[in-house]
Amino acid sequence: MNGLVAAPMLVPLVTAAVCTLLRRMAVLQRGFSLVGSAVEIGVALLLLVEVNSSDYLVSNMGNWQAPFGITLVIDRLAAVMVLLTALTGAASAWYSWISLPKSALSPAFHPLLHFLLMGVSGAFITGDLFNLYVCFEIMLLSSFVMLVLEGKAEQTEGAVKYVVLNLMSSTIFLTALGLLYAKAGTLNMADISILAQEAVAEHRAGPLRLGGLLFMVAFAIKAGMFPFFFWLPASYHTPSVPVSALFAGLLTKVGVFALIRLHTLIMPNDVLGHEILLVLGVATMITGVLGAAGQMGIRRILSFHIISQVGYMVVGIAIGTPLALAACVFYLCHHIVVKSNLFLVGGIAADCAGSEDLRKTGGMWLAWPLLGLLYLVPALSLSGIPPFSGFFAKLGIVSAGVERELWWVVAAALATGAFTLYSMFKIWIEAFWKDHPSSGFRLAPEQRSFVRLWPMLALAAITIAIGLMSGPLFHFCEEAALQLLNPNGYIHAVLGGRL
Amino acid sequence: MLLELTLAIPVLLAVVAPLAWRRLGAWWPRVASLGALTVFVFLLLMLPDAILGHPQTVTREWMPQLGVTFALRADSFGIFMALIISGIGWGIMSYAGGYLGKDERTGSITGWLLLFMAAMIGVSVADNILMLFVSWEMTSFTSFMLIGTNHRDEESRVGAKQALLVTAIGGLALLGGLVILGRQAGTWNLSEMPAMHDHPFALGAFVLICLGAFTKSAQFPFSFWLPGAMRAPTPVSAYLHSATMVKAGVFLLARMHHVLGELPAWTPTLVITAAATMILVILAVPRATDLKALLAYSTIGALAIMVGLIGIGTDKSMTAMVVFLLAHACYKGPLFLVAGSIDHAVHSRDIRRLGGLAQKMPVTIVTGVIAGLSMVGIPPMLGFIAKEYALGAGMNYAPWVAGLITVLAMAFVLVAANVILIPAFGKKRELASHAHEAPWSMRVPMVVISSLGLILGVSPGLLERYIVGPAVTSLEVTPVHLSLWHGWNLPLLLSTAAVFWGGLAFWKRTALGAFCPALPSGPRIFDAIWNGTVGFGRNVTRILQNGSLTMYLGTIVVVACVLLLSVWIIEAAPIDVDVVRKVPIIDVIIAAVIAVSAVVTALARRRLPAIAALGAMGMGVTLFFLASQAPDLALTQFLVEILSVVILVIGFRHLPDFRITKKRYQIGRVAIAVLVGFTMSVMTLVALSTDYAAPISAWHGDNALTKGHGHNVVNVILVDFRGFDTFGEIIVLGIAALGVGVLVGSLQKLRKHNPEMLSGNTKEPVQ
Repeated sequence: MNGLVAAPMLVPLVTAAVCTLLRRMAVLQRGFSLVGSAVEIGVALLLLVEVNSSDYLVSNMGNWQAPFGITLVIDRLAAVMVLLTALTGAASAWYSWISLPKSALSPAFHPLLHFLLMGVSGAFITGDLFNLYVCFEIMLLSSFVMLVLEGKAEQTEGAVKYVVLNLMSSTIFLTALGLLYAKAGTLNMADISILAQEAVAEHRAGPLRLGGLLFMVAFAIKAGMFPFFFWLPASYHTPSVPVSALFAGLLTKVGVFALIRLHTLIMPNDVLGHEILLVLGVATMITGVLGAAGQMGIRRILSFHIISQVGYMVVGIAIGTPLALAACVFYLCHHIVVKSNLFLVGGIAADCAGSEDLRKTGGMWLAWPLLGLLYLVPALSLSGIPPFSGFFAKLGIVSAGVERELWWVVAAALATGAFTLYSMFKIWIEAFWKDHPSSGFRLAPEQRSFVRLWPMLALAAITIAIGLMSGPLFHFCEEAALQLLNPNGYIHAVLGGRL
Repeated sequence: MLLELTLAIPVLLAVVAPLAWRRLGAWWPRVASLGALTVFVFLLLMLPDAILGHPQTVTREWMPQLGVTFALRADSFGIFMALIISGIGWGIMSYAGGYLGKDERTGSITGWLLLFMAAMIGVSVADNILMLFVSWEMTSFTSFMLIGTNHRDEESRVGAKQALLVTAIGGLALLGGLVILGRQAGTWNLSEMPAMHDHPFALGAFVLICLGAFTKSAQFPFSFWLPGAMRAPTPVSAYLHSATMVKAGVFLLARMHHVLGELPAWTPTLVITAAATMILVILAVPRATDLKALLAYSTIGALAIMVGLIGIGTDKSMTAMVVFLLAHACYKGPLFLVAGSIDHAVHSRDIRRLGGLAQKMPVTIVTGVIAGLSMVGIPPMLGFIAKEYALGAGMNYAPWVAGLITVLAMAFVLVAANVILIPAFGKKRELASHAHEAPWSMRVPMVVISSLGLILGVSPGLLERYIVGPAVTSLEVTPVHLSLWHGWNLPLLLSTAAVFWGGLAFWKRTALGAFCPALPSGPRIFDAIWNGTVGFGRNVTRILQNGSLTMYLGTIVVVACVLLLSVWIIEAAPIDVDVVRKVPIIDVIIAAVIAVSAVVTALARRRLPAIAALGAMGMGVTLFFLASQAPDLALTQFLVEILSVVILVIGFRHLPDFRITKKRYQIGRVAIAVLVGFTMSVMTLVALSTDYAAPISAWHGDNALTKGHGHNVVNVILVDFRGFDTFGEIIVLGIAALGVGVLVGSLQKLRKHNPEMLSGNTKEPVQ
């Protein structure tokens, strides 16, 4: 089974390559892209089942023993993230097939989509810090090109900010790598973890912590944390709908994932780092949701909410108890599905109503009730209304805060919930309930085609399933959290012989 | 099984509602009401077990790790509440059929109503407190959807939004309180929860739970959302906003009584809140002219009485609360329905335009009179018993409470007279001429529910033995004996006085209305606070997300440096000064070259010198690599530098002119540059001052030839040991190639239309 470890990177790569070759044959290209997505999901499911029984799947690239070569490692968290990546990619590819006119889609879209998936999956499964950097590069470049695919002015404007600020993150990441290598002489995460634990035991971890903080800043930019999130609201509302749904689901989550790795494996027991992360996490929650409350564009609102929700996850990492980490993992899973879905539904609504600006939309509830219901599922979930998935995610974070008696964090998390609800229902009231400002508003039959809703139906079904089966799922998240909190298991799996 | 069915039946009916309405037409509301009646019967069947003390339970795992279990327990109080919900639900479904007629929204309205019914029954019979919360939130949401039935009307939308926000904010507080409570208690089941008043965070939990209950039950200062919710169709108002949902807060407080009732803060908090709410109602009623607004205010008042009674928390007051809850459901529901029938018949709810309907709508009016008598508290109505006991319990606690209840009872008299007497017997207006009696489907529920108030009033023994007694017992309080007549005592005197003065107030209502001050508008205050917060958020966002790339970069860099330097100081990471001394002289010279070129680049006022200086800087780096005996790196760097200079020279030709920044900005930038330079120096020195382990590169050197079969170690690392990285970088190049193709196309378009966009400093319009 360890032979499959590289598959989450290789399958998208092959798909991307073939899609590039098929760029002049639109139908074939779309078809192959969907097939590739399906294979990605299948592989991810296989890996998830496998990792659930054998805890770690490890593969040394080129068969060079760790820590001298590059190692890929899949633990429970990585496996579930790979699955969610594949699902989001599939939804986006599916949507682009059935909901965008052929002319609107650049032939480069499908190749780039799979390149992006390759980078994202790679970031989840790599056990090597420099390789993580390479995966970030793949992500950054493919996402940058996806941002400007249609060549609209606002897209280029957003993309410039996106790429410059993310390059800043890369630069900081690279600097941190250099400094770390100078100190520790290794890039393998497990190897660094051993050194870090020894250093902590001998009370000389200070210099390592500084390096860790530099990594934290780099990842915090990626995750869209306060005060580093500027690139996100500047760019996410500009590309075509499937692109922004993909970004919304995945990109920031890679940053969050890297923060989890940093704080559990690479620099465990970093109390000061946890405190900085906690304060920044709470600030992220609040600034994100305040930013959303004042917006009038559907995707602008949703973009700011990504930031706010990242805050919840970061708070989970920062609290760092088994419960908090499990809640963080649960939050990640729930959020990827819900957020992508909201962007897709929002995209359809904006397309039907003729604008994304809430002041120019309306009438969708009467025009297309099914779309309304499909909006309500992720919207209620994001607002944390039970019995949808978001409620359990929020409950997890709140419980973790109560457990540690971090009252200010609990208060902030709850207050953020109120504003989240407000902006979700602002979209509902303005786009669905209010009459459309133009009196002759009517949907064309091809706009109202049921086929368009399939990807959203699938994602909504997943959201409902997460809510109903939250017990077993949370159990999985707890196991993932225990795995994260026991870096020695990871180290043993990677460096078994040497330990 | 029965217990699960009480939830499953309404949920299933709700799911099929829109479709069934299309298929069954006018039959559908009858089917729905039959469903509610079935639930009612099932609940009755479970009552004996509950009275005997072994209630039916259901336990299913849901998310046990966080305390959420699908745990239901049909104890007497739960069944009592659920009976009210399903019983009134039956009436409402039937009534809605007649009221809405052929309205195409009937399907969805009944669907949401049924869903609400399930949620509300869930609140009543939940044993697990988080399960209760799940149901609680569903009632808030369904209420939102129902208030917004006429969502094309702006006031409906505003009313729905405010109701949702207020109850949701309360809900969030409640969630916090319940989580604290559950973690402290070690159990999430109400039936197992001990008295918690001496736990350290009990007070915090209590305050949060109170916020939840007060928002839901429209207590001061959260009362304002209820009148706004009256935009809903009347059956909805009758069901959610008088008979059932608003009682959820009261219900929750009653449930919490045995857990938190011993807290010193319990009684004062609840009684003072209730008193404030009562005063608000007393001041608001004389000026109200809309039938539904009048009824809404009296509902708030009745809820306040119940909250106060729970606050007092004696055996007598708890018994009185249960009786009052039942009595209120039996008279307020029908009164709303009467108001709805009048509205339905003459299309107005303004008492200034109504009158003379008694002959046209006799059944409706008689029903209204019966319900009104119960509200006023005339024997032998159930309302009379409720008021007697409430006054008695208030009297035992403090005379001023009884006094306040008396004045509130006066206001109720005024409301009843306004709502029934004026439309029925007032001067006949033009509107009355085409009035007509409501259809059977609307009349039957009104008559049945309101006559319950009479039947139960004359049979207090039955009431005590099978309904109120067991319900009170399951709240862990001893019920007191119920009877209609207590002899001549103070409560009776107060009660009589209230009726008398209420009558007087009705007679002089115009003067009274003019006398009462206009209250500040609650919705407006709430809006001001809320919009203020949102506006504040918008301003913060305008500052943070202001569109300037320069500022974004500056913020990121400065925050990163400040964080790093603070941690450096806190962690006291050592710097070994010897490291600096060991730097060879050639390195110092090269560093000086690099530094000077950097400064020249920054100070350059023309493009070409800037690029040249940048090139010089790159050459410095190349030299540095050479000095460090890395010729292959030096070669690579050399090529990169030449290429970048060439590309920059070509590229700048197409860009707008060089802009010289203003002096004051320059100072800031110099400061940032110095800060970054200093931080990076510190970081480098710290890194050089410590070694944790021998680098793995030694292994690479040892094994390059034997295992990698190459003499050039760097080569072997790049293509073999770490070949996977190189593979990734090749893909990056591939994507870049793909991207150049895309970009060339879009840049050409862009340059034509909007060259400013490329500078990165345009304003993002923050709306």
